[in-house]
Amino acid sequence: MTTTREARNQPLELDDEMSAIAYCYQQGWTDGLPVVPPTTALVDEMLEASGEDPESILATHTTTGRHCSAHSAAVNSVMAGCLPEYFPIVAAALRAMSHREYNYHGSTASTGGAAPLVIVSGPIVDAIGMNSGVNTFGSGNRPNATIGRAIRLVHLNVFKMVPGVTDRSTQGNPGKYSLCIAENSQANPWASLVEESGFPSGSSCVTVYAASAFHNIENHYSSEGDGVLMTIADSMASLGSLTHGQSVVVLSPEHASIVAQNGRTKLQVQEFLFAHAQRPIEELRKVGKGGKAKEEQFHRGLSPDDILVTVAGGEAGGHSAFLPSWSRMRGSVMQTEIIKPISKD
Amino acid sequence: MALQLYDPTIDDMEARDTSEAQRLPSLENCTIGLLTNGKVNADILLREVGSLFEQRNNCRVLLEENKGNASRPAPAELLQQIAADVDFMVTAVGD
Repeated sequence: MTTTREARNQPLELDDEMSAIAYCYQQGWTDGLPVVPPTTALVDEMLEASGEDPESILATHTTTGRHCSAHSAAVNSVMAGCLPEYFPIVAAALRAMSHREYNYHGSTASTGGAAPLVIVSGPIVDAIGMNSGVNTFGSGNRPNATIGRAIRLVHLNVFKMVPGVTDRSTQGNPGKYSLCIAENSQANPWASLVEESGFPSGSSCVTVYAASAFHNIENHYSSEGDGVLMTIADSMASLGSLTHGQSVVVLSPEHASIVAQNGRTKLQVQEFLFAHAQRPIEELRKVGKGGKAKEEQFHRGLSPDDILVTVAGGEAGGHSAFLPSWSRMRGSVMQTEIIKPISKD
Repeated sequence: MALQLYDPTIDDMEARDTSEAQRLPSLENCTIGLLTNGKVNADILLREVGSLFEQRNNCRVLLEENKGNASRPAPAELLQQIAADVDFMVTAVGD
């Protein structure tokens, strides 16, 4: 069996669903979990609903020169279990990751084991039934689980970032199966990510970020914003993850509510975290780190803008999350892209 | 009824050419460029390699460049610049 363009234009024929699932395993087309067989009917339906030209290029892997067309993205999205209405998010995420600053190759090939974190903000979250509440990082919700998985399958099948071959991650990352969350608009006391993006009113957007595995930050005890934020800053400044890379902080609704008391703005949260997520350079030097840094106090990131703050999670619980960037400096920079609505024509 | 599936992969022929560069007829008396990825020890390794070429093949290390970002491809302009000045280039990945 070949994998040429001719073969794609002349679809493969399998006897039944189980044979098709087994065939996908045999071809190395899965992430280890069974995939939905990408039948021509399902893929064509997804592409038709999206209004995307099947041959349009959504993303390019600059190192290998491989392009991901809308058709390839749709095939992999079907395999991941996506419904057609999820596809605009997959397409937007791929477009965002294709920006040079995201650095597709480094973040997918590195020993660092980044997983592409996809954060969705705006009305599409409720429109397609994404989960921004309890169990926000998973599992249990189809769009969250399958959108992130579609990205992973594109990396595997289109860009050939194969574990052990071109994906050389030392320990991997469970987020490589899927890492897609939605901003909790009800619990967010500040402007949403899409409102901050400058996209037209009513838009939705996706932010992509090459993320290392997240740190759970527990503080059930402080009722003061400073107490919660100091706990987060302390995790951000741990020796194992203190770099000048970017950060994503996902506040739980409970923590967000405490932090926003007395009118504290999101910018003030970023400034507080940047100011306190630091330690003396001597402490880094003691463990062989710090490189050529000249500053006496080494901060997480280069400025408060390097810390993306959002809100997601269940109403109860003093658990937030910090996700360090894969990049220790600017090897990969998070990107935001508008989500094109599905054409009604 | 049989299922018809699309192939989720793309044709390798569509990807960038990664075949070997044309081989030099000889290494003797060549000029060399060294290109590090900027990570720790890459420069040490490269200089040692360059030194061995100088000793064994009477080569000359003409320039040493750093591609600036370990995880990104070397800028095309940098590669073109090096290619214009030397007979061959050696690169190394440190960490």
